[in-house]
Parts: sequence; C-alpha cells; structure tokens
Amino acid sequence: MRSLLLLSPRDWRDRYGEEVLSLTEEMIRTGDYSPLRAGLDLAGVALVERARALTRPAWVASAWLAIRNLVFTVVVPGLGGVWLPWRLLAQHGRLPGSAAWEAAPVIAAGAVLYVWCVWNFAAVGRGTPGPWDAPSRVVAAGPYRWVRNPIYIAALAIVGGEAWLFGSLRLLAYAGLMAVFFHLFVTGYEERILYRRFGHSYLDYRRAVPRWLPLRPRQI
Amino acid sequence: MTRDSIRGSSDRGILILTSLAGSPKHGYALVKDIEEFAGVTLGAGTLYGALGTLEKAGLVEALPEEDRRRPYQITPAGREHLRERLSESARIAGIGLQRIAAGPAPAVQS
Repeated sequence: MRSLLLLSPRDWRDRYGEEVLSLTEEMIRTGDYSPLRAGLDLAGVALVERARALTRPAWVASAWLAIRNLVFTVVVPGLGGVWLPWRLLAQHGRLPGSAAWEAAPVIAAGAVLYVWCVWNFAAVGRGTPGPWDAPSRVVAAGPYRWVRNPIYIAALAIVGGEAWLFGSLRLLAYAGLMAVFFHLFVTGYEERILYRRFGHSYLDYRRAVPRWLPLRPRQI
Repeated sequence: MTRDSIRGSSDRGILILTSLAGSPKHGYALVKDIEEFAGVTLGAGTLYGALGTLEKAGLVEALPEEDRRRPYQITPAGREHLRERLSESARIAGIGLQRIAAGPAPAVQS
C-alpha cells in the first residue's frame, strides 16, 4: 500500500500519506473493504493528485494570484488614489505648479504600507484586498498584528499626503469623505461579513487588535 | 452505468461537509457516518482526496491530532458553502419531484 502512495505528488503525500495509510489499514482490518479495492482506491487518488499537480503547478497559482493583485491595485487604488485626485486637482490638464515636497514621505509611507498589506493577504490567505476575492483565512500577520484595517489607513495617508503636497482643500475634503465612508463600510458591512465568514477565529482577532488606532501587538 | 455507480459519483465534498456539519470527525468516523446517512462507503484515498480539496479551499480545517488520529472540522465558510449548495439541490429536487408527480410527458412526434 505504501508503495502506491509514491504515485502521488510529494506535498500531498507528506500532508495526507500517513492518515490515508492508517485509515486504509483500519478499513481492511474491520472488513469495510477488500485489500484489492483499497489498493485501487489509493492508486486512483494518487494518480488524480499527480495529474492535478502536473496541470496546475504551484508557480502557476502564484503567478495568477500576483496578476489578480496587480489588477486590483491598478483598478481600485489606481482609480481612487491617483486618477480621481488627479481629476480633482488638474486644471486644463495640468497639476498645480507648486508642491510641498515634505508631504512626499507620507505618500511613500502609505504606498509601502499598502504593498505590505497586499503581500500578507497574498502570502497568508492566498487572496486579494477585493471582497470578491478575499483571503481564505483571517490574516493576522505583518501590519495586521497592529491594526485591523491598515489598507484603509494607507489609502488615507496617500490621499491626505496628496492634499498636503498640492495644498488642495478639495482633496482634503475628498480624503475626509473617504475616511467617513471607510468607517461606515467597515463597521456596517465588513466586520459582519468577516464574522459570518470566519466565525470565532475572527472574533478572537477582533478582540486582540484595534480597528483603527495601531496598538503594540499582543499574543493571539 | 449502474445505479450504484451513479450514487457513488454524487458529490463527495458535500457528503463530507454534511457529515462534519454535525461534529468534527477523524477519517474512520467520517467514513462510517457517511455510510450510515448516504449508503456509500468512501475509500480511504477517495476520502482524503476530497478532504484535501476542501481543506485547500478553506471549507474544512484539521484539528490537533489525538490518539494518532487527526479530526477535521467544518469552517464557517464551509457551512455557508454547504448551505448554498444544499438549498440549490433542494430547489432542483422540488422541481424534479413535481414533474415526476405530473406524470410522463407526452411523446414527441418526429
């Protein structure tokens, strides 16, 4: 029986091999099925897993995840954080000439925070920030150890920084509206959805990490 | 295709999720429970093949090992998925039963 498992790909074998073998032995011992059927069943699954690994290697899944995150970044933060602010600022297709360059580090910090968040969503939960393609588990790593909604904070840093950079009250008002919208969206919709999706693991996380104001990470 | 083989091909993931919706179980308890409520005996390989797919999708999760057996439990996402799939099946079952009750359709003239 053990040799049949060699047909399966290594990571599957490492994860489930021992469990499958002990269940197979138990089922043969209790007369639930014959050794022949057990062998055919094992070989069948091993080959199916092997075929799956061949047709969909790990790097394809990772590349596809990266593309999804890239598309999300271009569309959502691209529209809300670059295109719309540019529309609000530009007159006759040109940005205001003078700029307060001391605001640049704020924007850069927001951008770095955003990338850090996306990286953790992808690495830990194999998902994107989009609610339609969200991580498959509660991500409590990286910036998410400090605060529950770092992407929104990053967005506010970027747009707020842009308002400062160009001294634009319109952009500041836009950032304020965004902050209000984020708060209502998070408290009214997102937290409920996350609870429904992840149950207790989300409740534990919510108890340990604050919503908006970063706090030194505790053990969770 | 025989009747049995049709039944055997019914969605294994749904059988596993249905079983785990009751309580967390290890492999042998899963096989026995599914046998009891669905009348199908899943092979060990078949069971773990399906369990692996469910675990990767975040619909079930492994619990810490006890007595050299690892129990599995359904996740909240798994419950949601099961609810959706079963409601859909129930809807289709309703339509099918209604049509059967209405008697055979008139033969199509060619």
